Amino acid sequence: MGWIQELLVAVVWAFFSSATFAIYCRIPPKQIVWGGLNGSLMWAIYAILSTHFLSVVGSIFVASLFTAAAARCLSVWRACPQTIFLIPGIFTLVPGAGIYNTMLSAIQRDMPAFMSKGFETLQIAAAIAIGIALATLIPLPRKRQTEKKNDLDEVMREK
Amino acid sequence: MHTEKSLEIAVLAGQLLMANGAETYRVEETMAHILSVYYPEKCGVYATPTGIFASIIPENGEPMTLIKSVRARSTNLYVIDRLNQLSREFVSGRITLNALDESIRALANPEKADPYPAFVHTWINGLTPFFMVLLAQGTIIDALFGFVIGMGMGFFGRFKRIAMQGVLVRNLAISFFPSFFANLLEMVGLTHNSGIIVVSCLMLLVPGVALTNSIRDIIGGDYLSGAARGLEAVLVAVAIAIGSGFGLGAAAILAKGWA
Repeated sequence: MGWIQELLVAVVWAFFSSATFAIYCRIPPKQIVWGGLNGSLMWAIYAILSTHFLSVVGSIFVASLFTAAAARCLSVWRACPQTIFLIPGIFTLVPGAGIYNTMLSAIQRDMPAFMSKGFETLQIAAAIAIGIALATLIPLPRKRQTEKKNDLDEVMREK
Repeated sequence: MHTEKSLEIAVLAGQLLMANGAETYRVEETMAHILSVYYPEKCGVYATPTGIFASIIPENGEPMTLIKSVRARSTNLYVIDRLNQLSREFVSGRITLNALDESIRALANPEKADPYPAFVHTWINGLTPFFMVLLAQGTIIDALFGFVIGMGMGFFGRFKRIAMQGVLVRNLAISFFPSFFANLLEMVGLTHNSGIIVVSCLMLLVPGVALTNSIRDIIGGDYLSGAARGLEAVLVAVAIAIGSGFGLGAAAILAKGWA
């Protein structure tokens, strides 16, 4: 049971990290919670897959696929562009530290570390980008026009 | 009559979107939507991270092109959301060209484009490193150090002389502090996780999202945008690494002098 507890704690920290980063990016105030939850989702999938099933890059790929799909659903439901939920969502796993460590190895003239870290950084960035690109293939149900008063917005935005 | 105005508004909207971190395809789509109200087929748009281009062929008139450059790029999701909403309202005919013009010009003002008061951003500078340290399995003490260093970086970044610099010099100067103080704390023996503290404090500066967006652009076929964003991401990372290198060196010299 230890790992479940650990996972839950990490998911809570991922929520707050993503939510604070979302505020740093000036997310519209009504969407803070959803941006943060998307970050939790990303971290939860990554943590489960990378400890038990897949490689780091593979689990980041699957996590970004689900996160991007969730961001698309949210963008229809909350009537906002997908980016608003996507950027906080992927924040905890984008290779920011990776690209920094790569360049740090470069200025410390540690060429083997530069190559391996640089390659891993590119792999992770590509895994996230491909996950997001593939998530656009998932079809989403369209809302009917009569459902809500301002439903026209959502139909228009979904396009 | 509408010719110049709709072209100008479309390019201004594109410039704002690009300067606030929208994807290239979104910038081009939004501009094309705005132009398509008056020029359904006779318009062309092109967006890169450093410049926005749009042209139209009016009925019985000369072709017209408008170009605007984008000097600096950051991420502001509020502006992206508002512009998305405004352009859709305009295309569906619920607001006029003049109303759209007014709203877009208001968004160009940085104060109007921020839904949060200034003190929130002050705290965010410390809170993001705080939670990132905890997520990276640092102790609560490390997280508090991260909070203090992050707040300090925020204050330092707001100095006018720093804030007016280009993105490279600014990042180089700010990223001196986390590695300097975290390594000093480790040498004094107050923490064993200086690496986690440094990376967490730099999380708001490092171009992880920018690098990912650059690859997304390349996958989407916007090769020029992807290359430009990728170059910026790499250069920013180099600047941060150099700043951190200075910080590390300064901490080592200080510790040697102390001993």
